[in-house]
Amino acid sequence: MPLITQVADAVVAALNAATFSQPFTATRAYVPQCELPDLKALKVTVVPSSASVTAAGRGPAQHDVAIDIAVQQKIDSEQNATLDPLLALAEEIAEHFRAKRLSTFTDALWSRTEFTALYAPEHLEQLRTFTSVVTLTFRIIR
Amino acid sequence: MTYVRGAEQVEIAATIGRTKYETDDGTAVRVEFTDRDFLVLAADLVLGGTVTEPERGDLIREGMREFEVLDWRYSDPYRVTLRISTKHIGAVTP
Repeated sequence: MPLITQVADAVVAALNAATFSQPFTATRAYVPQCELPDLKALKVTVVPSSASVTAAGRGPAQHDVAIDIAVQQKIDSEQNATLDPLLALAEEIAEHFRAKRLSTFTDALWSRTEFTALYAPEHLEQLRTFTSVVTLTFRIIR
Repeated sequence: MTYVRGAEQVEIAATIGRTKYETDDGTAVRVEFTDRDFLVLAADLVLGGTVTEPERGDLIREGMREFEVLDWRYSDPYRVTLRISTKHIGAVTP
């Protein structure tokens, strides 16, 4: 199995083993694609995003593997009271991985978190849907 | 079709103005949706005994399909007909 999908699967396992403020079951996908009616329930999708390899000494290489985590839900209201908990969930997810190794793939050590899309304004406006994308980068030396 | 706002609803005759199946990939995440416009007489939109204008978040039920109102405008200069823009959000919850 490719290294990046091993890392993505370990991220899915970590998310599904943890308890967050709102329950969900994360899944891995190559294309984070869904239909609007599917988003009535909270959806968390883990997507392999990018990878880079650099020298880490004479023999081993440093693999930086980026994984996108998309948090999405169709909302009934655009009020802060509805949106704040969803953005908080995205932050919780980001914080869950900070400075840790992935428990089911311990070679992977967290190195960076970026909110690629803190929230997508166009999804709020055009689809009345909350979308946030967190990109986690893990470092593997091998 | 049935126009719904909270606990209030009204049966209205409507013409389907446009239906498109689109994909939004403006971000890293792609969402597919059905976009439908309904044309209705403004005088027919009566909720709670009062003629009203559409509001974002209202629902339109057509058979078992449910659409959410996202935008609207009058479609003629005399304000006789409303064009209500919606997106399909799923099946009607029994």
